[in-house]
Amino acid sequence: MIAPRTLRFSWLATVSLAVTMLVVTTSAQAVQYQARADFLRETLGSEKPPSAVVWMNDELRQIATEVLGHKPVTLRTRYWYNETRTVWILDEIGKEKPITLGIVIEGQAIKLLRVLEFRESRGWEISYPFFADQFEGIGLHRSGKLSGRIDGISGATLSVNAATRSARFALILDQYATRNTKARASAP
Amino acid sequence: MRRATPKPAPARRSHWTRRFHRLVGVASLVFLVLIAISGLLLNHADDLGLGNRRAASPLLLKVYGIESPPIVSSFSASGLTFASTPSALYANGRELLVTTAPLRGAVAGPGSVIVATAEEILVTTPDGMLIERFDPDISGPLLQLGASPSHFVLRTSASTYALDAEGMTVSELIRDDGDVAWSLPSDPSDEQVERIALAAIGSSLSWERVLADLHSGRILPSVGRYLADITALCLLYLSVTGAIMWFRLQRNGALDSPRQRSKAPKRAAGTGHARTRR
Repeated sequence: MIAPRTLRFSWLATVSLAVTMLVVTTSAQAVQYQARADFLRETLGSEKPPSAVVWMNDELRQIATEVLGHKPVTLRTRYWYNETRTVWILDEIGKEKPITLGIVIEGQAIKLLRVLEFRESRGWEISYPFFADQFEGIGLHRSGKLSGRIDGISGATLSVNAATRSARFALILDQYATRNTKARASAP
Repeated sequence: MRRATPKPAPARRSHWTRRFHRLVGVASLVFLVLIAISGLLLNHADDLGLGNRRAASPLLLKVYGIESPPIVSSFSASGLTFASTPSALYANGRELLVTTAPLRGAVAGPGSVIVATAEEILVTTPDGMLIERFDPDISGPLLQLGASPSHFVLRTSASTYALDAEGMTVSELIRDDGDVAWSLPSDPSDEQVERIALAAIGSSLSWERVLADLHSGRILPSVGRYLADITALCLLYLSVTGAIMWFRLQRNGALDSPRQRSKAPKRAAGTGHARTRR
């Protein structure tokens, strides 16, 4: 038979652990995995690489609304670039708070996707390489959707969806950026 | 000789069943219609976009006890008034951004307005449309925004930075730039306050939520649930008594067609029931 003192301790330990887990899991402290300047330095070799913007014209705004599920918040989106790649830093809402994602695109395919800052209390598993690595090499299908399948994470569906939407949007923006660059280069 | 207590005749029971059925039906009519309509609308809430439609009716807001949020800070630049509440930022009374970061300043730029919150820099058009938002990656929260003759200036508790609004880059200022005109708070006009209040409180309540509360009775916090319970019991009663009355009518042949009635055996007159020997 278990001694009463042991039983009381067990209950106390169980309750304490439950409360701690509750506090930890429900407290929504933002976690910054990497500063933007560091991400730009790592992916483009410079803390202040050249940047340009893609303006939301009517066509792009419509596409953005369809892809993101909401109207784009800003009238333009900035990106950074070198000769071979573009780098996008996008904020997309998971459940309630924005997730900051850094996306590198090279040759119209994703070279790297990384969570730079995560602000929600759950779904942070998307910051792990096992999830983010799935995006490497993925481009846009003719239909406008991602060319590859992304496996979800149980309990992190909203974060997974936010990352997937951002990836798709970054690829579309990259196409527009490339188109604009070519137009500028060929202009008399 | 003891007289047996007469049992109520089946006709009398039937009469009272019908009477109560009618009474309950009429009494619960309004609630049943409300529940039916709200249920139908809720079933198609996504198609109707009810979750995105804001219910800004003053009566509803009063019912829900939703009050306008306090204005935490306000700055003006280029004829625009920017104000922040605990959950959002507004430009001339129109919601600009959902953010909990307090407003720190607003200064006019060339063809745009630069706005700073504690966490990020925003660029808007002269009429308050959000062009771009930028996280400056500086140490510590932003405390002040200002402008010197050559650049915009950001101040944190640790340092001062020059902001290049074109390229959206910041660089630390080694020495304090003494020529800075810092953005100072301003009081919004009463009209601005009212517009922000309507925008803020209207955005917190959707028609889907109102219908769901109406459907469940929770729109009236103290008695609504019980009214919903009573309506449900009434509906249950109507279903049961309706079934009983149908069964009785069916048994008596009242629901038969004239052809079926002409073939059925004649029943005893008066009671409408076949006499049974006791």
